[in-house]
Amino acid sequence: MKPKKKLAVKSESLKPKKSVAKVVSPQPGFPLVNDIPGHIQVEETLHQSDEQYRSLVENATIGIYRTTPQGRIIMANTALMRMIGYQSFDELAQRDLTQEGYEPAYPRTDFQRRIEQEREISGLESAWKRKDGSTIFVRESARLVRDAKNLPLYYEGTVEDITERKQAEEALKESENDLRESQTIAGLGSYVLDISSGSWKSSDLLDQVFGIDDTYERSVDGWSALIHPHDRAMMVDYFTNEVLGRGNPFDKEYRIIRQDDQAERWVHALGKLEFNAKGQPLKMHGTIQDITGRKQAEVALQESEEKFRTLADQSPNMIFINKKGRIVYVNVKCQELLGYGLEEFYAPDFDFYKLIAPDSISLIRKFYREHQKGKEFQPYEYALITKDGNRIESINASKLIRFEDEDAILGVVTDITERKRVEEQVRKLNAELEQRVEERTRELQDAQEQLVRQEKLAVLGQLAGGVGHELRNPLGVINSAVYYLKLVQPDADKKIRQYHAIIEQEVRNADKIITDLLDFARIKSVEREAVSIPELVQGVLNRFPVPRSVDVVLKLPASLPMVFADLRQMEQVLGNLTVNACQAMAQGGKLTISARVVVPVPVRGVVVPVPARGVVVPVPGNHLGSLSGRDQQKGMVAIAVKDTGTGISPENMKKLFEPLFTTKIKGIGLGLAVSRKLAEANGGRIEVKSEPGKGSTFTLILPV
Amino acid sequence: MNESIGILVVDDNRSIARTLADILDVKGFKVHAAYSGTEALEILKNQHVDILLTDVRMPDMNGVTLFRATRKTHPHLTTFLMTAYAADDIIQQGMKEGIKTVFTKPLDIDFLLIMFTAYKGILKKDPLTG
Repeated sequence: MKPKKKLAVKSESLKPKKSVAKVVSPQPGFPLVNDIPGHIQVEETLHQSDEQYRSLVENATIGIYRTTPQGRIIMANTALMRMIGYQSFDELAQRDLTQEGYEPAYPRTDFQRRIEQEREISGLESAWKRKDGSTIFVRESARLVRDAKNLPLYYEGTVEDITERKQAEEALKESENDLRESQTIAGLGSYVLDISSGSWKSSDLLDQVFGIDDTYERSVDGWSALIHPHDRAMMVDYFTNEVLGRGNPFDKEYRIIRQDDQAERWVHALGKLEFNAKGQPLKMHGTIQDITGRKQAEVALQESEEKFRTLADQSPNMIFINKKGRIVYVNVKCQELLGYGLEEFYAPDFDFYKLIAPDSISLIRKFYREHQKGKEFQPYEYALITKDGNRIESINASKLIRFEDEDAILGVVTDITERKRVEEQVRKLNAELEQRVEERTRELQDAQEQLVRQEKLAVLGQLAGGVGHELRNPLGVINSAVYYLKLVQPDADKKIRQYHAIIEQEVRNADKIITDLLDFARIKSVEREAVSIPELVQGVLNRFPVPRSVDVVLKLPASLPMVFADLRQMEQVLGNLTVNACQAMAQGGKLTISARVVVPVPVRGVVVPVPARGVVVPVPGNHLGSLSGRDQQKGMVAIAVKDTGTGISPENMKKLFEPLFTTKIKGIGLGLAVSRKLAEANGGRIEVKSEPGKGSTFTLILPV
Repeated sequence: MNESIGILVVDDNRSIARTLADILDVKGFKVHAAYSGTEALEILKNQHVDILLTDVRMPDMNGVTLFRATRKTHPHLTTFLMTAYAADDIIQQGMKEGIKTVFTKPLDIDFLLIMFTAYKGILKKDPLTG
């Protein structure tokens, strides 16, 4: 009989043969095929069932096959062929299953062994090779069909392509591995809590975190037993009320006592509730991480920051931390010195530039900018302004640091106001000192100059003295010679006698010059005694005769006290004054010599005349130095020599007493200089008044 | 009359000595001149001298030293000094020891003569000199 439909699957074994009886083991749903000739109706039914059966097999979505123990495929449905990539059965029939088609996942011999031992295999997963060499994963169930002699006839089996599922499984496994890996790396243990039962499952890592083994009671109580006694009540309360009660996520850091070593550990637990349709919590998924290391670091950091704060607050210097322009820390000293409170310093809008004195602002801006670029500096000076507006001179030593995880500037400021003040004082003192030293040096220089001048004068004096004395010898000779000539020629003619006189006069002049010179150069020792003024005046007039053209008027009151002076020297002085007076009156005139008592006044150079007349010119020189206390108390006598001569011009007045100053043709101008010296050596002084054209008055003032 | 009055003039400056000597000579004194102390002492040994008129500052010996040298041999010799340096201390010293006076140079010749004349009177009466 020919099958009515053309079947895609060709099966020799299915080809009905007239006389071949098949022995098949009964299969549920499959009618027995019994090829007994004569039963055509049965054949028809059988044929129909056969068709149905073939159709079933053919259209099944799973692969169905029959293979021989020798490794030949005797039947394969479309699905199977498609599964392993064959277009026709003929091709597939070429495969020798002993050689190919199976991955080393399991050798066919194992398959055979198992199936013969156990008669069937169910759910065997393995990998097969497709025609193109690619691999598929399959799930196989097969049974052994024996023949009448109970020898293996063929294997009959079903195959499912589980490649996708397998791939998914693999992917899942990989992602699970990845997850586990990351959790391990993160130290995240994970859990799932079943709310209704109160029991939880934990990952291996969580077990490690808790230090528990498989036997540990994974219940809410079990969990709370792991919590550190100090944190336990709080955590349980939190879980019950916050999380379960309000449905909030679990997020807490707390301490546990690790089960295996009883170590105290910090953990961070997270948990998210899963709700049912009614909004009731079903499960909680979450992670727990051992954060002991981090926590310790946190605590250590906090402690170190505490230590820093304590240290900083005790510092006598101002310490601040400036993070990106904001003051984030100031110590107690800052508050004390600058006058702002912590809240003011830390206020977000607090501009730290208002602490800087105006003249330091540009400097600070520069440094701040450079700090931002990462530069460090040597300590520098600047000034701060307190809240009250006081100025604090300071030195700032600043450094870049990390503070609370950001870049910041740490500054230590030393108040140097006092030091600066002292420095300023020292500078002032130094300046003063320098000034004083300068002054003193100048004084010393002046004194030295004076000394040198005096020495020069002394040397000159000595020289002069020497010369003067030496000159006296030749003068003496000339004198004697003239004397002799006069002696031996008493009756020489007039002219010759005149010449004798000329020589003698000139010798006298020369001698006078020498005398003046010697007197100026060296003051002879002063021998003071009580001197009567009338006698003194008389002696002077005797020694220095006045020319006939000059009238002499004496005004010497009888009540004049004696003066205390060297007689000879005073004679010389008054003589000098008289001679000058007479020389001023070359054409004749009146010479008035008067004397009166004067009241001494402590002010230098001022003498109150009685009566005051004309201008009193103080004589330059050291008056007070020569006045002893006794002189000042007792009183002075002024002897005035007044002439009616030409007078002295104002310019000459100044130079009058200078050595070598003279208006005369004769003489070297030492007279007044010597007179002044002599007067001073005797405790007195000389004053002069003059009216050009009218006359002059020289006054010798001597102590009583 | 001055012939019997012997005067010895001593000065290391020859001009001074000579001019003085000449003047005195004209005035009638018996004058000797010496230019040093040593010379003077020599003359004193041989000549009759009543008055010694000597300069103070001289190279070999000063006037006062000369005076001192004459004390033993000529105790009655009347000595006068003459000098340009009146302030020499040695003069004060000499005065204390018996020098009569000191004449300052340039000499006032008349004054000199007056002094000598005054002493001449005294000298004349001296029994030793006769």
